[in-house]
Amino acid sequence: MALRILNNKKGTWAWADFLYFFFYVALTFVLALSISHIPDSILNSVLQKGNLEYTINNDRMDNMLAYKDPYSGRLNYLVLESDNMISNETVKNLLIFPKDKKIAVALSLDGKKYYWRKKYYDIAKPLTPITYESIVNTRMVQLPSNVWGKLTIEQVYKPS
Amino acid sequence: MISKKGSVMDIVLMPVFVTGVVLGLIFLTLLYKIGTIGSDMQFEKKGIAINSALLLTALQDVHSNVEYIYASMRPFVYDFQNNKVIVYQKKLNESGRGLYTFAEDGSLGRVIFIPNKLNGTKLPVPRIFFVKQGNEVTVDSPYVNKKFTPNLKLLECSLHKSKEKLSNILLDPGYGWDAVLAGQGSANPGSKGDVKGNIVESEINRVLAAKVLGYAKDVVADKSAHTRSLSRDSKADINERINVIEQGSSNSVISVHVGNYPDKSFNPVLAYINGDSDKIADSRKLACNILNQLSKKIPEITDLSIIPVSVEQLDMFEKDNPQRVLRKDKIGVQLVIGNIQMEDNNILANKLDEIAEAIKLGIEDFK
Repeated sequence: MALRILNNKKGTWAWADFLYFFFYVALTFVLALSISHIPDSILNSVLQKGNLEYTINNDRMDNMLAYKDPYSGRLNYLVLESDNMISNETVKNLLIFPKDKKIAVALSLDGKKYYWRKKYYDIAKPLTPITYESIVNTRMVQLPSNVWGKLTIEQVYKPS
Repeated sequence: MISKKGSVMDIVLMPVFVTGVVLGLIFLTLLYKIGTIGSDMQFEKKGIAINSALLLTALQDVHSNVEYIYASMRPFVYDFQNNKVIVYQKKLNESGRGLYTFAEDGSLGRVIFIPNKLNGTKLPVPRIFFVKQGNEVTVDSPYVNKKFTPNLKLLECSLHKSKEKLSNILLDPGYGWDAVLAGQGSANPGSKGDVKGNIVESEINRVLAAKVLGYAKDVVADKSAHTRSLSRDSKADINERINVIEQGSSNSVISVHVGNYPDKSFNPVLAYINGDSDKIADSRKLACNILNQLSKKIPEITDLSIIPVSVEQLDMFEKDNPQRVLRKDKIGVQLVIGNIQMEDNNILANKLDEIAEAIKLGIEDFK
């Protein structure tokens, strides 16, 4: 077919040139880029971190909220330091994330929720687990006033 | 296929020619990629940055001390900044550098990260040490910083803000023996405590308390306010010392004693605190800060330990229970320092100034 077009004296030479360059030149670039990127993506695939970082962060926040027993020096995860421990002030002072880190944190006790980066949370949360991911850790805790409550620590983030 | 005039365009537009060019380009690209893949450090830089950042995150989560060694390091610059790790060869912002971020503890946290930059391009850095020691997470290498030695004895201290500030601290040098009374044949010249060679506990305790006063005049009570004279070894039984503590206006007491253990390789500092006191959290924090400073200043110390005791229970078993000076209403620490049985390089004989200075630094760390 191609040969016929080339040899066709009445044919449209300009279109034939265009078609050949369009396919072959474009294909060259596509192949060259693939050759360049495929090894990188294969090598980098072993650098996938999963949600390891966020799981550790969750544990760190758990530690910070736990009651520190002054007698033994140990942490008691079933008890919170104080009745008003879960607050806006607390959620701000748990972890310092880098400014450009795409993450939001929410703390809640018995449904009352406190946020760090609430705007980001409101955008990202409905899009989990498609565009964003989240880690939610819920457990029962005892307040110093002996009341039990359900504590939730949630991180919503963009996987990198 | 080729015109009789032999147009160049006819050749260029030949499918066989174009296909050949395309395949040639692909082949050259492939060769180039294969040629550079061995020398491309991008993967390693990224891998090290990610691993380091995740390791630093994990170290900020653990409670005990950890020393983690990264070996066989490449000649890169390892820049451990607050919140991020950057690994590069020539320029901080070069393409292909490794960069990964991590979260630091906020004000409710337990650990402080100390940033550092290790340049392995100028000097080989075969090993990098990631260390969690006490309340610090740090990255360093003895190949770059000759003074760097991880101290895995340090304790993790509470970072809570105390409601009280330490002021007019009372010093309680344990025991007390009066040579004049003894010379006069008194039946009760006091007690020397433990004695080994030239080391007499009552005298060492007194000298040490006097040195602490010298180093920390701002926070320690006046010379005359302490449980016994700091100028000369004098008799003071435990009840007299307790009276001084109870009647004094000070909110805190530091008692100093000398350790005595048969194992001559055991050279600890133990800090007793009153486990029944409402101020136990503050006492633990003060004890922890002093112990850590002692360990930093005096490498000969082998162990650190904070021991909460029930003074009432101990009183039932021992008439002159030395921990009785730890009153419930005061922030109090009783230090039992070193081991009098140590024969070589005994810190009780030749490091009293360092001990006193460390106690002062520990008091300063309590804020």
